[in-house]
Amino acid sequence: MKNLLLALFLSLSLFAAPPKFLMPEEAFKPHAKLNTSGNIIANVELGKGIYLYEAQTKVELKNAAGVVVERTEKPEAVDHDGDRVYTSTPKFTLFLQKESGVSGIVKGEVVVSYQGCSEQGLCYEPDSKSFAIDIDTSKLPETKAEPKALDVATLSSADAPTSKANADLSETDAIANTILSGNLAIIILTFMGFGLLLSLTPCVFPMVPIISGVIISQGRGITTKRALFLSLVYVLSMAVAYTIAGVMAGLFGANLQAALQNPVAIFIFSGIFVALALSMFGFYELKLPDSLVAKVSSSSNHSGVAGVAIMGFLSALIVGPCVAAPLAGALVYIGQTGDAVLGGIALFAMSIGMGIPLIAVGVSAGKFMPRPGAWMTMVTDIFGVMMLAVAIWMLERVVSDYITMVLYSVLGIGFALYLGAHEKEVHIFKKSMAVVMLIYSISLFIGALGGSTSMLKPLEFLKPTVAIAGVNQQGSTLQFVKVHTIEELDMAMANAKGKKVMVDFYATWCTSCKELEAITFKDPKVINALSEFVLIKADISANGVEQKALSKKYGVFGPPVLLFFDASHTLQSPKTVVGYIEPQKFLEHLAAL
Amino acid sequence: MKQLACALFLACEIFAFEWKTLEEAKALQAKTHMPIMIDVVRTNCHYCTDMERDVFEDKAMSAWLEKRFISVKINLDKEPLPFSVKVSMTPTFLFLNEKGEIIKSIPGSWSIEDFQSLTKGIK
Repeated sequence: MKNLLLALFLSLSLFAAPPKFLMPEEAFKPHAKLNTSGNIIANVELGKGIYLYEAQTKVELKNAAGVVVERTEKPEAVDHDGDRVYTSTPKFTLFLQKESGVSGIVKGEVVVSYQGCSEQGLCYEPDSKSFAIDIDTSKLPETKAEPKALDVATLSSADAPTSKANADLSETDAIANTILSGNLAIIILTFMGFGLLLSLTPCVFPMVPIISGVIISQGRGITTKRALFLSLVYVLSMAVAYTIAGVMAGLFGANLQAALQNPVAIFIFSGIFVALALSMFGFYELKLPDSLVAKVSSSSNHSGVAGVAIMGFLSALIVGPCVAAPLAGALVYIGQTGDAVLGGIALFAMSIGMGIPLIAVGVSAGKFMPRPGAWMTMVTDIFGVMMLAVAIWMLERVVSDYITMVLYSVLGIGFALYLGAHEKEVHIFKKSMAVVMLIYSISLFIGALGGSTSMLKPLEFLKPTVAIAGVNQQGSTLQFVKVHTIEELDMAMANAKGKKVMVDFYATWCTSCKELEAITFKDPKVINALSEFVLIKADISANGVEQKALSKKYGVFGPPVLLFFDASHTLQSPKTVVGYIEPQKFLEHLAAL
Repeated sequence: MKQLACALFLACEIFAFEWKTLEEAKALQAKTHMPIMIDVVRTNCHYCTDMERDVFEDKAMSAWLEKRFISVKINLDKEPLPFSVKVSMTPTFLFLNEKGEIIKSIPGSWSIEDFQSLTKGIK
């Protein structure tokens, strides 16, 4: 009774409102029928001043066994206050096809769904209408045996995809397709460009002190020409290392770089830097044994070359294990086509691009090296300290943050004392620098003892815990579920049933992963945008059999890689992100999902 | 213009119309006996947003409404209407008396003047 009254009131009040607006059934009149060639024609007749949202207006064929919509023709929408809309009756044509073996009349249903507004100032609720149709399959063409889908795996160099198709591919696959285009000059130039861009990322920064140190350790009075030559040797061997590692990774799916990220290799390499540093401090002269030099070459000059080459080779593999989209693109190409030559050329060009700024650094290190004297000693000493810093930096991957922080602080304190923080007879500028460094290093030391692991905020542990709790509540951070094996990942995915998932492949030795962590994932907008995703971190630092299997399953060549799964947990492979991505770009990427 | 004045004098107050949840509104209605006004909206309905900006965020109009109604907003993209009645348009303004009956339904977006004259008789 109450409901009846209510309904009565409502209808009365609806009529009582000024008769200004069209009722929904007057505003929208959907129609659908078959035309003479057996295709579906549908439209939504619009009342005066009525328009439809393009995105919410759809014509679909349902419950028609053996008949598929090959394509839908629809009118162009226009812009209306920032919305894409149809302002006049839109007509849709659905071209149908039958699957092979289908004949006779097939019953089906056409559903026209729509939502729109009136210019007079209101919007209508979404609505749909369904129409029963009898499809005469004798009029329809048959579908082709296999739908032509674009898949990088099925591409051969014979059918290079168009640029339009590239829009649906991930950056990595688009780059793989650049190689497919086959023009050698374009490939080389493109990849050199990629390399130059990569040289601006933190992956390459640690190589700057290395190359400078290498040049300076060659001794006094080095000519510009020789500095250039040695820098070239360094960069070339670095490029060769990248190329070999890349081609092997592409062909065998084995990641040589990752293989070298084991504690033994890192301790050895770190040790080399300590040795280099000590030679900078003048404890001894770093040279190959004379007997070996004599065998390799008659000229003692060449002893340096071999060392520099080994240095370049190893620093490529151990210092800069950064996988970015161009590298992965070349690897995908090699893996899919087995064409190691073209892929290798691309990788080589990229590494050379990466090395160009390093050559500049090397040459200037040689050129501006001061004359022997007090200054010279100081410059070599500073490089010695930088070498030690690089050695500690590499250790970060295999030892705990606590140890590296203590090491950094000891290094800093030592350097500050060397500069003369405690002496009276030192220039005020030098002394200030030394004192600042001393204070920071001591903070680091105290921070490490206090359990802090942040190089930037070593004393954070001193803050009252209440305040920290408050901060955590406001500035929420992203919560990742950590997995290490295929089983663990499957389990995490099962727990995230019905939700979108992002899987972040990362490793402790991966510089770009740290950037991603520290910049992109700390951005409040990104945190907000990722709130609808279940976040999983696949830790492949250990690089054991299980981690390799996990990487292989998802075609991951190396971290960082971000995979996106929709709510039904289908991998959105065109949306895969390889390498570091800036917050703004990442937001756009998420918006396009 | 308002923003300009705001920027110039740095003295603008941050003002937003106060929407209650339906539960809060019912509790308040038991005390004040005012009708509840439910603004039924959708996210993609830009007339809803326009009206909110031009009408409800107007300070004088907001005070005028607050004296008469307890205002609730329901976004159909986030929650369904909590009773069996369906609206076919957004925005639609539903006015509820103390028994929970809908005493008036006003579809469409309006200017301040029109909305005042449409709603002033509702008690």
